[in-house]
Amino acid sequence: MAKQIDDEQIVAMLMSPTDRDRGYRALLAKYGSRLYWHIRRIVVAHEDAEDVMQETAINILAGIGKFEQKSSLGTWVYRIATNEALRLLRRRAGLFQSIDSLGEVLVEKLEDEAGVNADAAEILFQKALLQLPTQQRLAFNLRYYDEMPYEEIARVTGKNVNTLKTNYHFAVAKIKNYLKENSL
Amino acid sequence: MNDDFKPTVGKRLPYAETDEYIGSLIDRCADRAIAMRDSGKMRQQQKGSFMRRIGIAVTSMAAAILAAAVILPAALDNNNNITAETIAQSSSLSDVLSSLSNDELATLDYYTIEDLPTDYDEQ
Repeated sequence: MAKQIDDEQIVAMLMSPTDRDRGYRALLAKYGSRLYWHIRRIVVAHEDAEDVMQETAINILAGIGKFEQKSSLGTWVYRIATNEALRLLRRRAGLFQSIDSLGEVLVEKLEDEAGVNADAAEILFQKALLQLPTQQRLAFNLRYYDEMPYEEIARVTGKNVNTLKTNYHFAVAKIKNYLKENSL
Repeated sequence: MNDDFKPTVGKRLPYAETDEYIGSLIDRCADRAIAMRDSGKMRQQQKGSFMRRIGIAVTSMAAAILAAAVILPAALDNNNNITAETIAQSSSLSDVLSSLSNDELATLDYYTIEDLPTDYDEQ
Protein backbone atom coordinates (compact mmCIF):
# COMPACT_ATOMS: atom_id res chain seq x y z
CA MET A 1 0.00 0.00 0.00
CA ALA A 2 1.34 3.46 -0.89
CA LYS A 3 2.43 5.58 2.05
CA GLN A 4 -0.25 8.07 2.94
CA ILE A 5 0.64 11.72 3.02
CA ASP A 6 -0.26 13.56 6.22
CA ASP A 7 -2.93 16.25 6.33
CA GLU A 8 -0.49 19.16 6.57
CA GLN A 9 1.21 18.12 3.37
CA ILE A 10 -2.12 17.66 1.62
CA VAL A 11 -3.30 21.10 2.74
CA ALA A 12 -0.03 22.65 1.54
CA MET A 13 -0.54 21.04 -1.87
CA LEU A 14 -4.19 22.11 -2.00
CA MET A 15 -3.19 25.71 -1.32
CA SER A 16 -0.60 25.69 -4.09
CA PRO A 17 -2.09 26.33 -7.56
CA THR A 18 0.49 24.09 -9.19
CA ASP A 19 0.05 21.15 -6.79
CA ARG A 20 -3.68 21.45 -6.21
CA ASP A 21 -4.75 18.45 -8.31
CA ARG A 22 -2.05 16.28 -6.77
CA GLY A 23 -3.20 17.36 -3.33
CA TYR A 24 -6.81 16.63 -4.27
CA ARG A 25 -5.94 13.13 -5.41
CA ALA A 26 -3.89 12.56 -2.26
CA LEU A 27 -6.85 13.76 -0.19
CA LEU A 28 -9.22 11.30 -1.86
CA ALA A 29 -6.63 8.53 -1.68
CA LYS A 30 -6.47 9.07 2.08
CA TYR A 31 -10.13 9.67 2.92
CA GLY A 32 -12.04 8.39 -0.13
CA SER A 33 -12.59 4.84 1.05
CA ARG A 34 -13.68 5.96 4.54
CA LEU A 35 -16.01 8.51 2.99
CA TYR A 36 -17.52 5.91 0.68
CA TRP A 37 -18.30 3.54 3.56
CA HIS A 38 -19.59 6.40 5.70
CA ILE A 39 -21.95 7.36 2.86
CA ARG A 40 -22.89 3.73 2.22
CA ARG A 41 -23.88 3.27 5.86
CA ILE A 42 -26.24 6.23 5.49
CA VAL A 43 -27.80 5.54 2.07
CA VAL A 44 -27.31 1.72 2.08
CA ALA A 45 -27.51 1.10 -1.71
CA HIS A 46 -24.20 1.01 -3.58
CA GLU A 47 -25.63 2.89 -6.58
CA ASP A 48 -26.77 5.73 -4.29
CA ALA A 49 -23.45 5.69 -2.44
CA GLU A 50 -21.60 6.00 -5.76
CA ASP A 51 -23.72 9.00 -6.78
CA VAL A 52 -23.21 10.66 -3.40
CA MET A 53 -19.48 9.91 -3.51
CA GLN A 54 -19.27 11.58 -6.92
CA GLU A 55 -21.13 14.65 -5.65
CA THR A 56 -18.87 14.71 -2.61
CA ALA A 57 -15.75 14.56 -4.80
CA ILE A 58 -17.08 17.43 -6.93
CA ASN A 59 -17.96 19.54 -3.90
CA ILE A 60 -14.58 18.93 -2.28
CA LEU A 61 -12.82 20.07 -5.45
CA ALA A 62 -15.10 23.08 -5.82
CA GLY A 63 -14.67 24.00 -2.15
CA ILE A 64 -10.89 23.73 -1.83
CA GLY A 65 -10.51 27.48 -2.35
CA LYS A 66 -12.97 28.09 0.49
CA PHE A 67 -11.33 25.67 2.94
CA GLU A 68 -10.07 27.96 5.71
CA GLN A 69 -8.53 25.28 7.95
CA LYS A 70 -10.92 26.16 10.77
CA SER A 71 -11.52 22.42 11.08
CA SER A 72 -9.31 19.50 10.16
CA LEU A 73 -9.26 18.22 6.62
CA GLY A 74 -10.94 14.97 7.71
CA THR A 75 -13.74 16.82 9.49
CA TRP A 76 -14.31 19.04 6.47
CA VAL A 77 -14.61 16.18 3.95
CA TYR A 78 -16.80 14.15 6.32
CA ARG A 79 -19.11 17.15 6.66
CA ILE A 80 -19.46 17.43 2.89
CA ALA A 81 -20.07 13.68 2.52
CA THR A 82 -22.61 13.66 5.36
CA ASN A 83 -24.53 16.61 3.92
CA GLU A 84 -24.61 15.05 0.46
CA ALA A 85 -25.79 11.69 1.84
CA LEU A 86 -28.55 13.33 3.88
CA ARG A 87 -29.54 15.41 0.87
CA LEU A 88 -30.05 12.20 -1.12
CA LEU A 89 -32.22 10.75 1.67
CA ARG A 90 -34.29 13.98 1.73
CA ARG A 91 -34.81 13.69 -2.02
CA ARG A 92 -35.89 10.06 -1.56
CA ALA A 93 -38.26 10.99 1.26
CA GLY A 94 -39.93 13.76 -0.75
CA LEU A 95 -41.26 17.11 0.34
CA PHE A 96 -43.78 15.98 2.94
CA GLN A 97 -42.04 12.98 4.51
CA SER A 98 -39.29 12.80 7.08
CA ILE A 99 -36.07 10.94 6.24
CA ASP A 100 -36.71 8.94 9.43
CA SER A 101 -39.60 7.28 7.62
CA LEU A 102 -37.20 5.62 5.16
CA GLY A 103 -36.21 2.80 7.55
CA GLU A 104 -38.24 0.09 5.81
CA VAL A 105 -37.06 1.17 2.35
CA LEU A 106 -33.44 1.07 3.53
CA VAL A 107 -33.93 -2.38 5.06
CA GLU A 108 -35.20 -3.62 1.68
CA LYS A 109 -32.13 -2.14 0.00
CA LEU A 110 -29.93 -3.81 2.60
CA GLU A 111 -31.53 -7.20 1.89
CA ASP A 112 -31.12 -6.69 -1.86
CA GLU A 113 -27.49 -5.67 -1.57
CA ALA A 114 -26.16 -8.01 1.11
CA GLY A 115 -23.52 -10.22 -0.46
CA VAL A 116 -24.14 -13.96 -0.82
CA ASN A 117 -21.52 -14.65 1.79
CA ALA A 118 -22.86 -12.05 4.18
CA ASP A 119 -23.06 -13.12 7.78
CA ALA A 120 -26.64 -13.23 9.13
CA ALA A 121 -25.47 -11.48 12.30
CA GLU A 122 -23.97 -8.63 10.25
CA ILE A 123 -27.27 -8.19 8.38
CA LEU A 124 -29.23 -8.26 11.63
CA PHE A 125 -26.93 -5.63 13.12
CA GLN A 126 -27.43 -3.37 10.09
CA LYS A 127 -31.20 -3.85 10.35
CA ALA A 128 -31.00 -2.78 13.97
CA LEU A 129 -29.19 0.39 12.88
CA LEU A 130 -31.77 1.14 10.21
CA GLN A 131 -34.54 1.21 12.83
CA LEU A 132 -32.89 4.24 14.41
CA PRO A 133 -33.84 7.85 13.69
CA THR A 134 -31.30 9.34 11.28
CA GLN A 135 -29.57 11.59 13.84
CA GLN A 136 -29.06 8.67 16.23
CA ARG A 137 -27.83 6.47 13.38
CA LEU A 138 -25.42 9.16 12.26
CA ALA A 139 -24.03 9.70 15.77
CA PHE A 140 -23.66 5.95 16.25
CA ASN A 141 -21.96 5.40 12.87
CA LEU A 142 -19.42 8.16 13.37
CA ARG A 143 -18.62 7.04 16.92
CA TYR A 144 -18.66 3.29 16.45
CA TYR A 145 -17.40 2.79 12.89
CA ASP A 146 -15.30 5.90 12.31
CA GLU A 147 -14.14 6.07 15.94
CA MET A 148 -14.48 9.84 16.05
CA PRO A 149 -14.43 11.73 19.35
CA TYR A 150 -17.71 13.50 20.13
CA GLU A 151 -16.11 16.91 19.60
CA GLU A 152 -15.26 15.97 16.03
CA ILE A 153 -18.68 14.43 15.39
CA ALA A 154 -20.13 17.74 16.60
CA ARG A 155 -18.10 19.59 13.99
CA VAL A 156 -19.19 17.16 11.26
CA THR A 157 -22.88 17.19 12.11
CA GLY A 158 -23.31 20.69 13.53
CA LYS A 159 -24.89 19.24 16.71
CA ASN A 160 -23.66 19.85 20.23
CA VAL A 161 -21.66 17.27 22.13
CA ASN A 162 -24.32 16.57 24.78
CA THR A 163 -26.97 15.97 22.13
CA LEU A 164 -24.63 13.56 20.37
CA LYS A 165 -23.87 11.68 23.60
CA THR A 166 -27.60 11.34 24.19
CA ASN A 167 -28.14 10.21 20.59
CA TYR A 168 -25.39 7.60 20.93
CA HIS A 169 -26.70 6.39 24.27
CA PHE A 170 -30.23 5.94 22.91
CA ALA A 171 -28.89 4.32 19.76
CA VAL A 172 -26.95 1.71 21.73
CA ALA A 173 -29.97 0.97 23.94
CA LYS A 174 -32.26 0.55 20.92
CA ILE A 175 -29.76 -1.64 19.07
CA LYS A 176 -29.34 -3.92 22.09
CA ASN A 177 -33.09 -4.13 22.45
CA TYR A 178 -33.58 -4.91 18.75
CA LEU A 179 -30.92 -7.61 18.80
CA LYS A 180 -32.44 -9.17 21.91
CA GLU A 181 -35.91 -9.25 20.34
CA ASN A 182 -34.67 -10.52 16.97
CA SER A 183 -31.83 -12.80 18.03
CA LEU A 184 -30.99 -15.54 15.56
CA MET B 1 -9.85 10.92 13.92
CA ASN B 2 -7.86 7.72 13.87
CA ASP B 3 -5.48 7.98 10.88
CA ASP B 4 -4.68 4.27 10.91
CA PHE B 5 -8.31 3.38 10.53
CA LYS B 6 -8.93 -0.29 9.81
CA PRO B 7 -12.37 -1.86 10.11
CA THR B 8 -12.07 -4.32 12.98
CA VAL B 9 -13.82 -7.65 13.24
CA GLY B 10 -17.42 -7.05 14.30
CA LYS B 11 -17.53 -3.80 12.38
CA ARG B 12 -17.75 -5.37 8.95
CA LEU B 13 -20.63 -4.54 6.67
CA PRO B 14 -22.56 -7.28 4.85
CA TYR B 15 -21.59 -6.01 1.39
CA ALA B 16 -19.44 -7.62 -1.26
CA GLU B 17 -17.53 -4.61 -2.67
CA THR B 18 -13.79 -5.08 -2.29
CA ASP B 19 -11.21 -2.48 -1.25
CA GLU B 20 -9.76 -2.56 -4.79
CA TYR B 21 -13.18 -1.88 -6.31
CA ILE B 22 -13.83 1.04 -3.96
CA GLY B 23 -10.32 2.38 -4.61
CA SER B 24 -10.92 2.43 -8.37
CA LEU B 25 -14.35 4.01 -7.80
CA ILE B 26 -12.71 6.82 -5.81
CA ASP B 27 -10.16 7.33 -8.59
CA ARG B 28 -12.98 7.56 -11.15
CA CYS B 29 -14.80 10.10 -8.99
CA ALA B 30 -11.63 12.21 -8.76
CA ASP B 31 -11.02 11.96 -12.51
CA ARG B 32 -14.60 12.98 -13.33
CA ALA B 33 -14.55 15.89 -10.88
CA ILE B 34 -11.29 17.22 -12.35
CA ALA B 35 -12.56 16.71 -15.92
CA MET B 36 -15.77 18.56 -15.05
CA ARG B 37 -13.84 21.45 -13.56
CA ASP B 38 -11.56 21.63 -16.58
CA SER B 39 -14.48 21.62 -19.00
CA GLY B 40 -16.36 24.25 -17.00
CA LYS B 41 -19.22 21.84 -16.31
CA MET B 42 -18.69 22.05 -12.57
CA ARG B 43 -19.74 25.69 -12.58
CA GLN B 44 -22.75 24.82 -14.72
CA GLN B 45 -23.67 22.00 -12.36
CA GLN B 46 -23.33 24.25 -9.31
CA LYS B 47 -25.42 26.90 -11.06
CA GLY B 48 -27.98 24.19 -11.92
CA SER B 49 -27.96 23.00 -8.32
CA PHE B 50 -28.44 26.58 -7.10
CA MET B 51 -31.31 27.13 -9.53
CA ARG B 52 -32.86 23.82 -8.43
CA ARG B 53 -32.77 24.97 -4.80
CA ILE B 54 -34.30 28.31 -5.78
CA GLY B 55 -36.99 26.36 -7.67
CA ILE B 56 -37.73 24.19 -4.62
CA ALA B 57 -37.92 27.28 -2.40
CA VAL B 58 -40.30 29.05 -4.81
CA THR B 59 -42.45 25.91 -5.17
CA SER B 60 -42.61 25.51 -1.38
CA MET B 61 -43.63 29.14 -0.95
CA ALA B 62 -46.27 28.81 -3.66
CA ALA B 63 -47.60 25.64 -1.98
CA ALA B 64 -47.72 27.45 1.38
CA ILE B 65 -49.59 30.42 -0.14
CA LEU B 66 -52.02 28.07 -1.92
CA ALA B 67 -52.61 26.13 1.29
CA ALA B 68 -53.21 29.36 3.19
CA ALA B 69 -55.61 30.53 0.48
CA VAL B 70 -57.63 27.31 0.81
CA ILE B 71 -57.39 26.72 4.57
CA LEU B 72 -57.89 30.30 5.78
CA PRO B 73 -61.32 30.93 4.16
CA ALA B 74 -62.39 27.45 5.25
CA ALA B 75 -61.36 28.25 8.81
CA LEU B 76 -63.19 31.56 8.65
CA ASP B 77 -66.30 29.80 7.29
CA ASN B 78 -66.20 27.42 10.22
CA ASN B 79 -66.75 30.39 12.52
CA ASN B 80 -70.27 30.65 11.07
CA ASN B 81 -71.18 27.14 12.22
CA ILE B 82 -71.67 28.13 15.79
CA THR B 83 -72.56 25.26 18.07
CA ALA B 84 -74.07 25.27 21.52
CA GLU B 85 -70.59 24.58 22.86
CA THR B 86 -69.18 27.67 21.15
CA ILE B 87 -72.03 29.78 22.43
CA ALA B 88 -71.57 28.40 25.91
CA GLN B 89 -67.94 29.46 25.83
CA SER B 90 -68.74 33.04 24.82
CA SER B 91 -68.86 35.37 27.75
CA SER B 92 -72.07 37.23 26.89
CA LEU B 93 -74.36 34.16 26.76
CA SER B 94 -72.55 31.86 29.09
CA ASP B 95 -74.61 32.89 32.08
CA VAL B 96 -77.87 32.19 30.24
CA LEU B 97 -76.72 28.88 28.84
CA SER B 98 -75.20 27.66 32.04
CA SER B 99 -78.66 27.82 33.55
CA LEU B 100 -79.94 25.28 30.96
CA SER B 101 -79.99 21.57 31.65
CA ASN B 102 -77.80 19.18 29.64
CA ASP B 103 -80.85 17.99 27.67
CA GLU B 104 -81.82 21.51 26.83
CA LEU B 105 -78.30 22.28 25.68
CA ALA B 106 -78.28 19.15 23.53
CA THR B 107 -81.42 20.23 21.71
CA LEU B 108 -79.61 23.34 20.47
CA ASP B 109 -77.45 21.11 18.28
CA TYR B 110 -80.41 19.20 16.82
CA TYR B 111 -82.59 22.19 16.09
CA THR B 112 -83.43 22.11 12.37
CA ILE B 113 -85.62 24.16 10.05
CA GLU B 114 -88.41 21.55 10.39
CA ASP B 115 -88.50 22.17 14.10
CA LEU B 116 -89.42 25.82 13.71
CA PRO B 117 -93.00 26.55 14.79
CA THR B 118 -95.39 27.08 11.85
CA ASP B 119 -98.62 27.73 13.77
CA TYR B 120 -98.83 30.99 15.61
CA ASP B 121 -101.50 31.93 18.05
CA GLU B 122 -103.83 34.51 16.57
CA GLN B 123 -103.43 37.87 18.22
